[in-house]
Amino acid sequence: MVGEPTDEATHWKELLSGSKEAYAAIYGLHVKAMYRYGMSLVSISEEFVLDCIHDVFAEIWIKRDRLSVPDNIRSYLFVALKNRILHLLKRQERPHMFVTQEHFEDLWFESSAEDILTQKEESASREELLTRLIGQLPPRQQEAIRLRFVENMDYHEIGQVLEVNTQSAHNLVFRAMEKLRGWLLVALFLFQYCLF
Amino acid sequence: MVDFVTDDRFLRHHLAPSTDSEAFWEEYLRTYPHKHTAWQQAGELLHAVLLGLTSYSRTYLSEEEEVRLLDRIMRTAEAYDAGIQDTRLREEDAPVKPLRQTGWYRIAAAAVVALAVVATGYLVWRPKTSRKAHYAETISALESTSRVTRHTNKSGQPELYYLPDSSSVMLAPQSEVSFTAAYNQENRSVYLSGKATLDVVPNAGKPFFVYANEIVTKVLGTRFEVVAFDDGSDVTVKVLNGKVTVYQNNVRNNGAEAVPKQSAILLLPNQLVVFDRKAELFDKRLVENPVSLPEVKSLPKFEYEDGYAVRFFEDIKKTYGVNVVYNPELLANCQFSASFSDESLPEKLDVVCKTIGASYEIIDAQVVITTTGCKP
Repeated sequence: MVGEPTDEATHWKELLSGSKEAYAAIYGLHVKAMYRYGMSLVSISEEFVLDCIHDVFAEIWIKRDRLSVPDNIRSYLFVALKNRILHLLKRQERPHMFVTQEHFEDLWFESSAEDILTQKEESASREELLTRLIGQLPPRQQEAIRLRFVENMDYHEIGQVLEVNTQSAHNLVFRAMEKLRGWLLVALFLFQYCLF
Repeated sequence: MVDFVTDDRFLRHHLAPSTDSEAFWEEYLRTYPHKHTAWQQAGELLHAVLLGLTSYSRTYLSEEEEVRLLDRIMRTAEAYDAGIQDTRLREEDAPVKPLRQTGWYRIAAAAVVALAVVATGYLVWRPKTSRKAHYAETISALESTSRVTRHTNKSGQPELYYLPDSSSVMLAPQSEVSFTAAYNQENRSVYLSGKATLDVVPNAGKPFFVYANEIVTKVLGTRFEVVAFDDGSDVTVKVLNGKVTVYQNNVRNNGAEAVPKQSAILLLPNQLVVFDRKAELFDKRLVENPVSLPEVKSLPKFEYEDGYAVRFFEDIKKTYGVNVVYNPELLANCQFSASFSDESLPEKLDVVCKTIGASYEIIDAQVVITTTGCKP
């Protein structure tokens, strides 16, 4: 996914010393993934996500004298983008309380067999069913498996983006996979049940 | 089994298998044969998850948007370097902007009165075909079943004529417009011979149809022009503003009241369709000299200083409603400086293409840019 890490680090160093070419190269390597990730966090406005990506890169340029080479550029950029998005969203003057992450996970319902059946009946295809099932996972687990299976990040990098330690990042992915596996077994069982 | 799915080696093997990884897992399963089922199920689970994540992994940033955003970032960086630091600060205070692309056509759809220009009957030399003039045929067929109102402008001046629903027709000399008693009852169909300017009162329940020779033009809230030669030559429809649909009139003579279904062509502003009467084919083109869309609120200034060619082409799209086809990767490094005022679209394209060493063609009503790219 990420190109040659040494190359990237070289680009970054050049960028820090003021090279516009290296700046554009870093942009080219990461903007697609940043966009995808940003859109998964706030899908309501593409314009907003693009603004945030712009701000992240602008800030890198402006603060380049004070920056060092991050140990992982992709997760550094993801963290920066996420912070930017959250920062701007908080300024939207939405008087909502931020539920702590632990509580948030608790609030999530455990899907019952009936829920799975409903999902199954309403889904036209296997892809749709799986998309819906993944959509039932707690948001942080969803985020973790996107980073894991699409962005191909390791648990250390996922931990950096989600601001948890490596073990917790692993646990998030593990729990998500266990749930999906259980749901798929239920769906499979219901499917056979419906056949006979 | 879930242990497998969360394992780095397992994932790497499935996402990008290599001879090494093949060997590793073969060896593993030989050593632990009882894990074979779990290993296989883990593979299925992984692929199920990847399938469920396709809507995420398919969230693509378009190439155009990628180039545009880079351009914007570069301008911010340049502005910062030049000491103008408040650009970003202003940016920071900007609220979330609404979703993009409030298309001009939506504004057009809201237009209160649509204006239509229709013209037929230029004298162009053509060998006479055995085909009789369509207008006369159609009118006599209509007269056999219904009362037909015909109005001919016999003066030497254009004449304003009102239809029963208050839509007006500016008829050119020697031109005729007709309609049946069903007009504004069951339909709003007019038949035309000659040249006319129509001012159509919008009525979504009763679409407005203009029958000119073999073609039918459906008015969708718009301003357009029809040229239909009575002597067997091509028929053209040109859109100035809004949208029209053009059909081939396959129900010839037997009362053109039936809504035509075949070969519908949607025309957007600055597009033109030519109907080849011999081949019975439509050919969609760009008008010779496209004009800027009247609905576009903030027209681009067309002033570029080390501007990106891609931005210019996007400005063209926005201003003229014309699609420009290009490869943004090839154009990524193409910059130029120019300032336009009243130049026509072809003139603008000529200047920019020459500057960046590209060329353009107009194919199927689109501007297609050919280039080998620019050196950074």
